[in-house]
Formats: sequence, structure tokens, C-alpha cells
Amino acid sequence: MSSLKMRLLLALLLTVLLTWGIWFALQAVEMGRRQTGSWDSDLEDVAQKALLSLPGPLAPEGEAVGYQLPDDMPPRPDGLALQVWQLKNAPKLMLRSPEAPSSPLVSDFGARGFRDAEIDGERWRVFALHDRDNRIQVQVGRTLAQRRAEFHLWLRESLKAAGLLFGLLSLTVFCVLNRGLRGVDHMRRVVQQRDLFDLTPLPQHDVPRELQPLIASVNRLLARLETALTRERRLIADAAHELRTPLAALTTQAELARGATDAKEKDAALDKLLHVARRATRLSEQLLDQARLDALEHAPTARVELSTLVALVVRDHESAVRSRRQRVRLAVQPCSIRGDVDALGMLVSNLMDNALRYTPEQGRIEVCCDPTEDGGAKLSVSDDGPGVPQSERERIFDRFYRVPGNSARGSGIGLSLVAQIARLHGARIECGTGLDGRGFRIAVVFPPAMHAEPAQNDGAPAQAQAAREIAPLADA
Amino acid sequence: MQILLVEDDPMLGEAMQAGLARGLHADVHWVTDAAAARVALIDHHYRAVLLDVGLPGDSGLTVLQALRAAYDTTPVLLVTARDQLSDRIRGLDAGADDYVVKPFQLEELLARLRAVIRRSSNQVAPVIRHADLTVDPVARTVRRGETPVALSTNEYRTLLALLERRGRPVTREQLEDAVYGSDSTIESNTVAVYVHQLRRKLGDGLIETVHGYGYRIQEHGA
Repeated sequence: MSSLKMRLLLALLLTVLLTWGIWFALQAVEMGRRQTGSWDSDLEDVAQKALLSLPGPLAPEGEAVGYQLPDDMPPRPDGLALQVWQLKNAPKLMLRSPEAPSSPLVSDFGARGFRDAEIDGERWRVFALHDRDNRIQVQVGRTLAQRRAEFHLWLRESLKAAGLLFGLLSLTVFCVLNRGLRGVDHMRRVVQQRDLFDLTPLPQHDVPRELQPLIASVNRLLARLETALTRERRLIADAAHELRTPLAALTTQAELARGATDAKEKDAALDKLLHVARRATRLSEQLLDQARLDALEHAPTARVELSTLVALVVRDHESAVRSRRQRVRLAVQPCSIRGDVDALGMLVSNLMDNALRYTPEQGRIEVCCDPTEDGGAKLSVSDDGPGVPQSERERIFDRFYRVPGNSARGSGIGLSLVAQIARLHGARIECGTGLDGRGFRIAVVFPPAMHAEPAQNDGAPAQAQAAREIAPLADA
Repeated sequence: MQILLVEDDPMLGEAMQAGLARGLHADVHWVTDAAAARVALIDHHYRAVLLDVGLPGDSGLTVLQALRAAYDTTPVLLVTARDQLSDRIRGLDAGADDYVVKPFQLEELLARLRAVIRRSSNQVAPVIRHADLTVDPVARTVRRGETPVALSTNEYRTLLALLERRGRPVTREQLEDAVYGSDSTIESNTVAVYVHQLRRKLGDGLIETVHGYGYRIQEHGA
């Protein structure tokens, strides 16, 4: 029972039914209430009217000839019985309506007001009224059977009307709902008929105002998906393009090597082949990193000891460092953050790769990782290379962006990966000047780990001590 | 010298086999999956194992774990992809001796392999006891009293280097050499991190700091 239409309809109609039921019950109680209810009031009314409209002297019952109703008007069977009694000496019946018996409805002429009586096995409700001088008494009564019949008639008529109204109401509600929800049905059809990658906004006209925010949210989501999809398509296109160049070079160099006639020429061609193969490898690694990262949707929460991770990853680049005769200094202090080990590995690796690539031979690189005051961690990679002009520092984190005029051919993916991983970990990136007042420095500042580890109570003093001891690296 | 090579890619495996034969004059036994590797390790005694982590089906790490669970200390050199840092850390924790990252240069692979083989053959292997600490270089286990302590490869090497020179201070450089080999070009203070981890796992009193010099473990355990 999840249809909005059915639920609305049911709720509305049930409410109407319940209201009517209560109304009927109240009405019935009201009518039947003693003394003040409409049944009893009627009796009192009639008694008063009859008494007031009687002429002064009355001839006893049977002595005067009464009036007759016109022939085309049958007497209404309202079952109301009226008697007028003269009270002087022995009470004498002066007047009675056709339905009234000749015996008094209430034989006790001294009392007045409402009474229940039983005459010939029938139960009556009677109202008796004296005039001021106690000369006559008017008795008005009605049998309970009559009253019941009348009530049933009233109920029947009312129910008939209510039923009609109810039917009309249901129909109206149903039609209005149907019309109102037609927009939703239309929307469903529109969405169903969509192509897989059709991310154009849903039409917003012809939709009830209440649904507008929903449609607007869906459209915003679609717009974001569109952006993401466009980005991914561009990545694939760019990646294919980026890979084509080194692959073409690879083929050409291989052919050259094969066709070389003397050993020296062959070696030279093979060296170039190796170089191009490494470039293609690095590019595909980074594209793989990107793909892996794109699959990592949520902020990771495992506890990671950043210092050991940095030590591991920096050493991966040892052979590159050696072949370029660069000097790398690694100064780490124990600090743990929350994150994803593989993604953080990519981050450190790409920072390192970037630094190595843009620092000339025999250049210096320094990698530091320290806890911050607020319990987070700061990782920085500095070099003494040519540095990055202030105007370029924002853009180097864009995918496939390369600093113009730089001879080292990077893929333009590395730093965009770094930025993406930093964002995933809620970390902040700071750029600055590197070593000896030149070069470039990128620092990634990680926020404090959300939950304190239980191991902290024995780890805290040890950590402080370790921090003091690790510092002397500078004079080592 | 027999070496086991576990590598599923035919082209890479072929190249590695040829490279190892040429560079180390080794007799390379090449298998392509974890099950075959386990069988080979039971039947033979190799000088070293070159183990690809990213095998189809069973991970190479299960081979390593099975090997170490059987107290076999045959040196294992892991071959891992660059983006599988977590695998590599697990591997080092599970007792791998070293690792190379794909794509590697053949020279690098040979150098690392030579280093792990040299390291394993240097082992005279007496069990070292110090206070309540027992280090068994043959089984590569560390116990404190009766409780085994899990140490990563680098932490273990740091501890072993300090214990082997008990009573004498050991410089940071010597520890670096013990952990990474003497040809490391990266100047670092990472042994301080390993010492920190060792203190966390074994208690603060064991390893003393010799200021401006290095670290020391006292000759007689308190």
C-alpha cells in the first residue's frame, strides 16, 4: 500500500466517514435527550400552542361537532396525541386529536411536566401542562414506537444524502488526485525512456509545485554526473593520446634497433627504447592510480603510521635517485593519521616522483614528516630545483597541466592525483619555496585522527621522547 | 644456486629467468601460481624465493605465510606493483626479507637478491637471550617471556643489529646499513622510527639512546 494516490484517497474518505458517524451519533443523542431533546421539546411546544389557542369556555368532548380537514389533505401520521381536560370537579375530556385515546394519557392530573406512561400495552412519552388558574390541562403524547419509526425514517433519509455526498466526494478527490499526479506519471515515463548516458535535466514545467524541489535536486545530481562523465571521457581521450606518443616512439626505436648494423648503434637505439618504455610505464601506472583512486569513494578510516609509510615509499625511488646522482634526506617522526594506505602511498610516491623529475642532477631533496600541534601530521617534500612560479602554483594541480617551457616531460597526472588524495583525506596542500631559498616545496597537512587510540596512554610519553631523539638528525 | 621464481606473466617471467641466470648464474625454477610454489617449497631447498604478490587466485602472500608458518627462513624477495603498498606492508610484517617494485630495473633486482642471500648466509644462528627476550634468527621469531612479539622485517633487523652488538653503542649509520644494506643513497633517520616502534612493542627500558651517537642495548639485561 505504497501508492500515494490510494493513501490520500483512503485517508480523506475515512476521515469523512468518521466525521459523519460522530455527527449522526451526536444528533441521535441530542434528539433523544429527556426534557431538552427535540422529541420532548416538540411535545412541550405543541402543548403550549394548544393551550394558548383554546377559546375560553369549552364544551365537553362529544357535545360539540369538531372541524374536519379538507378532503385533499390526509391527516399526517405524526402520531402526536393531544387531549384537553377540564379540571373543575371531576376532570372531563373537552378536546382530543384523532389519535388520542379517550382515557387520560396521564391519569394523575395534579402533576405536570414530562412523564412516561403505558396505555393498552403501549409506551408513551407525555407532556402535561396546566393553565395558570388550574382550569384545564393539556396532555400531549407520542408512542415510543412512533418515535422510533420517525427516527429510522430520519436516519434513512440522512444516510441516503450522506451516501450521495460521499460518492460525489470520492469521485472528486480521485479525479483531482489523478490530475495532480499526472505530472509524476509523466516524469516516470520520461525517465524510463531515457538513454543510458542522457544526462540532460528533467523538464520542470507541468509538474506540481510540491515536486519542484525534488526535480531540481535530481537535476543538480544529473548536472554533477554530467561533469564527472565529461571529465572521465576527457581522461580516457587524453590518456589514449598520451599513451600513443610513447608507444609510437617505442615501435620506431625497436625497429631502429633491429635494423642497426653495428653494435654501438644498436646499443644506442636500445637505450632509447628503454627510456621510452619507462615513460610509457610510468604513464600507465599513473592512469592506473587514477582509476584506483576514482573507485575509492569514501574517506578511508584505517590508522596509518605515516612515518613508516613514507620511509618505505621514498626508498622505492632509490635507483632513480642513484642514477641521477641526487641527494635525498628523509627526516621522519612517528605520526599516525587516518587514511587509506594505498592512496597515501600514491600521494607520497607522486610527490617524490615529481621532486626527482624537476630537480636537476646532483640536486637535493628533503622529505619530512612531523606531527602537528593539533594531533595531525605534516608531510613535506622540498627540493632545490628551478621551482614553480607563483602564477603557476594553483594550476599545477590540474590534470594534464604542465608548466610551460619545462624540459622535463611529466604526464601532468601526478600532482592532480596528489590533490585528489589530499582532498579525500581532508588534508590541506601548501606550496612554498624549497631548500636554500630556491626550489619548490609542497606540504600536505593532514587533520588530526578523529578518534584517540586506546594505545595512546602508553604511547604518548614514548612518542614525545622519540620526537626529542629524532630531532638530532640535523647534526648527524 | 637454486632460486624459485613465482611469476604469472610469461613475458616478465621469461625475462626474469634469463636475467637471473645471467646475473647470478643461478638455476632458476619458475612456477606460475601459488599452489605450485607451495609444492616446490616443500620439495626443494632454495637459496632464495622471488615471489610476485599479485598472482591470479591465491595471493603470493599466502605462500609467504605458509612458508614462515613452517619456520622456513628461506629468504623471500617480494615483487609488488607500485600501487599495492598495503600488500607490501603486509608482506614485510609476514616476514618477507625485502621487496622490489614493478617495474624494476634488472640491476636493482639482482642487487636486492644478492643482498638477501648474503644476509641469510651470514647467519651463525645462535638463539639470543636477553633478559626476558628470546630472539631466534633461524626461526625468525621474537618472544618476550612466552609471548611471541610480531615485528616487521625492518624492526626485526634493527633489534637484531642492536642485540648482536650488545653492550656497545651502535651508530645510526650502522643501523641503517643493517636495515637497508650498505649501498643505500638515502640519508634518513628512519631507524629512529623503528627504535620507537620497538620500544612501543618491547618496553621503554630495553633500548638506550646514546646522545649524538646512536643506540645501545646493555650487555646484561636488567
